[in-house]
Amino acid sequence: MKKTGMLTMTIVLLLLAAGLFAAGSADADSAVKPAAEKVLTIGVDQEAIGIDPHIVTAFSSHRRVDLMYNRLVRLDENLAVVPDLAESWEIPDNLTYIFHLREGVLFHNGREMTADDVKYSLERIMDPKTASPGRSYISLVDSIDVLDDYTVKLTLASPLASLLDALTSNNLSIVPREAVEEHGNLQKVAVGTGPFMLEEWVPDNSMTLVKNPDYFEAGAPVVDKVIYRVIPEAASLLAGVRSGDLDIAAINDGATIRQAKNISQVEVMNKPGINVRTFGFNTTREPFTDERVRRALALAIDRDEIVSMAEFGMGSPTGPIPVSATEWALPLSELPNTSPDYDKAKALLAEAGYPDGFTFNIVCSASYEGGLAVAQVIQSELKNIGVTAELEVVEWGVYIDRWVKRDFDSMVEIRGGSGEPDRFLYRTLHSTGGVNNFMFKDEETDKLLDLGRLQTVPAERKATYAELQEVLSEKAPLVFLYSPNENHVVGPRVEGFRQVGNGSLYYVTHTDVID
Amino acid sequence: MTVPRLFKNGIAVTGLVIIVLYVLIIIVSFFWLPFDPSEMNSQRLLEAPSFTSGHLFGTDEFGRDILSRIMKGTTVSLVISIAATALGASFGILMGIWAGYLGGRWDNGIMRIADVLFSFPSLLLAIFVMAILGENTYNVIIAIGIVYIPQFARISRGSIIALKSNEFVRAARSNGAGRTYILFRHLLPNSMAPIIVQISLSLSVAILLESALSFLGLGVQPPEPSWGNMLSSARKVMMLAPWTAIYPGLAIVTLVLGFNLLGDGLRDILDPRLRNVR
Repeated sequence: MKKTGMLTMTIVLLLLAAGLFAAGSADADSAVKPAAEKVLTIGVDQEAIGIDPHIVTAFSSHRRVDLMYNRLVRLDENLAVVPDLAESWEIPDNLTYIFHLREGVLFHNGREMTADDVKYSLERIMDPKTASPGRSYISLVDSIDVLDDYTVKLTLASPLASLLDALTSNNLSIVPREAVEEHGNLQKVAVGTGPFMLEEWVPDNSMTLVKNPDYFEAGAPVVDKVIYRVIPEAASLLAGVRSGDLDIAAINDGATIRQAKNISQVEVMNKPGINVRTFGFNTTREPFTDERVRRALALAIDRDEIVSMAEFGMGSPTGPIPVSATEWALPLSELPNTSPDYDKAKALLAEAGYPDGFTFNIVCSASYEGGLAVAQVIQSELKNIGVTAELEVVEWGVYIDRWVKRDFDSMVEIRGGSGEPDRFLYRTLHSTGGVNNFMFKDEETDKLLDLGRLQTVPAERKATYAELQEVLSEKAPLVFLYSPNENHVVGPRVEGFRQVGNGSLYYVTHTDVID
Repeated sequence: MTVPRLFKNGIAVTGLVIIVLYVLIIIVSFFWLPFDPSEMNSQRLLEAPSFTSGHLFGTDEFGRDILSRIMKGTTVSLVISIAATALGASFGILMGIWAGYLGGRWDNGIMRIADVLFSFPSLLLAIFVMAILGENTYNVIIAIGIVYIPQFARISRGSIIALKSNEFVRAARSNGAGRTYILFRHLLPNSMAPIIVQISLSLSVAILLESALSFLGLGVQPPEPSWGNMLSSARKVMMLAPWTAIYPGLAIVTLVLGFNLLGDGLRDILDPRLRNVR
């Protein structure tokens, strides 16, 4: 049995480019003497574009930062904010946040992390010269005060109750000043406090991380080495996990995941992610100016059917807040207009003056993001209430242009959501929101969104956002359809891996490999 | 004269039979289809071909019957192919015969326009035209038609130049026949052989171009089925459900083969040099 395993591995090695040989043979060694060193291999479809946590934007880069750096706070597997470098925090009023840091946390260079590093990091992010995507997350921070070595106070210019969630971003990781000053930036080196340290990086091929022996969490990380391997093709990633060459691979392609489910050697882990597929209306164009028409269309939509047809079943129907944010999201059954009711829909159309339905366009594009498949299902579902949807399938560049110019009757989109309702819904639906492409202006919605920003007591916020979810389902400026799954294909050796929901590999820290 | 000879030519007959079969499919599809080609069914996604379910060619990722979609798509493909060829041929031939007959500056001017069109690879030119006109079925016809104009112009110009110095043309002229009369009554009928062959070959290329455009998302727009957009959407699920790609692919291959065989056969029949070889 072992011989055939070695044989397959040799063949795979021969097939791979010569440069991969070093990483591959390290893996082969571990198969021979499993007790010596525990190696976990992760297959990724894209190389990281730099690894400076304050600068990176690429999803692939964030997945490396996950394991090398820490933030003040992080998200757990329920997308709830939990302590990371900050052991605890107080919010005396909604403008003041005081963080108490863990003591004895060491950077990979051996120096202790203190409140000064927090101040330095946040200031580096806020410096326009750094060009950090994290800058906008903390733009309301007015001042950062170091109270003592282990206490730091943030003062806001105006209340922003979602600040804690913003601070979980990898872009707000804590870095040591001396490393930045020595290297200019951290795009090619890693000096964090995270569970793993950068050992070797062979661009476009592999990245090897070793265990941080001084990591602040007792018993973690479990494995000695983590190797990232860049394999651009979903089918090859799956083949890698199947052959035992890879232990974990993130795969987005629905068809490949469906294939993986038929393979007994691999386990498919999935949970709804935080992105949301939406079907939105231009609320300034007839007939979508009338909320009864929008509601009628919402009542014709069968979310389960859309997920099974357009996404191969790899997603979960959702309301205004991504369903994986269990802390905030109301179950669909408690929200109005979320399951098909053709009679009610037709009655609403008649009331609005369209007893015989009407014709309108859906702008979509043929790529996955452009949602052509979703639009086709919606088109066929709307026939049930006598409404004719015509698909306007445009090229991706045109699609973006139409989106920017808000030139559409309706549009199928995929929106980058957040587990934090303020961070997702304010920009999407507040009348001043940056990506309110529906041009939805509603006093009630604005009032609730503004109120949510002021409330730092969880129970009060929860009531506000519960009400908002109902209002949005009733006024239906857009129909929130489903959250696509985050899928990880996992090999049989892996134990203890958990998914966060935003793609993060944080839980590799607690993952073991058993031979 | 030509028609009976056509039936003696095995290649041409094979091509013709295939084309007639497809025309029959179109006629049948107007009155009867196994299933509604745009009816989605979430209970039958990606079902394999089977007699018991009635989905002889299986179902696609929306649970639609592939056979019905191919049958409906036949109309789309053939109509586009015929209309585009007709469009390209009529403009191209008009340009070509005038250029060839008038010669001189006219010839130079018209043929340089054709050269400009010719300098783009045909698929690229079609994509370019689609991008300007926007994506719908009529524009596919126009785009492919434009691709064909220079090809027909060149062929017809060539044959007119070869013919115009013949005795019978001079005879007609000395009898007082006008330019237009000579061109359409004497020259054009005598130069039809290469043009007919070009037409039959263009019909097959039009099917491929339509499929390519639809595959790229620029051609026939869903939910209207066309062989090209069926292949395009099958791309994602090909490994799971090969029948989604195999059957539309086979449809394209056989119809293109049919037109090509007919074209080859016609060339053999109409080519005077080959006429006595057989």
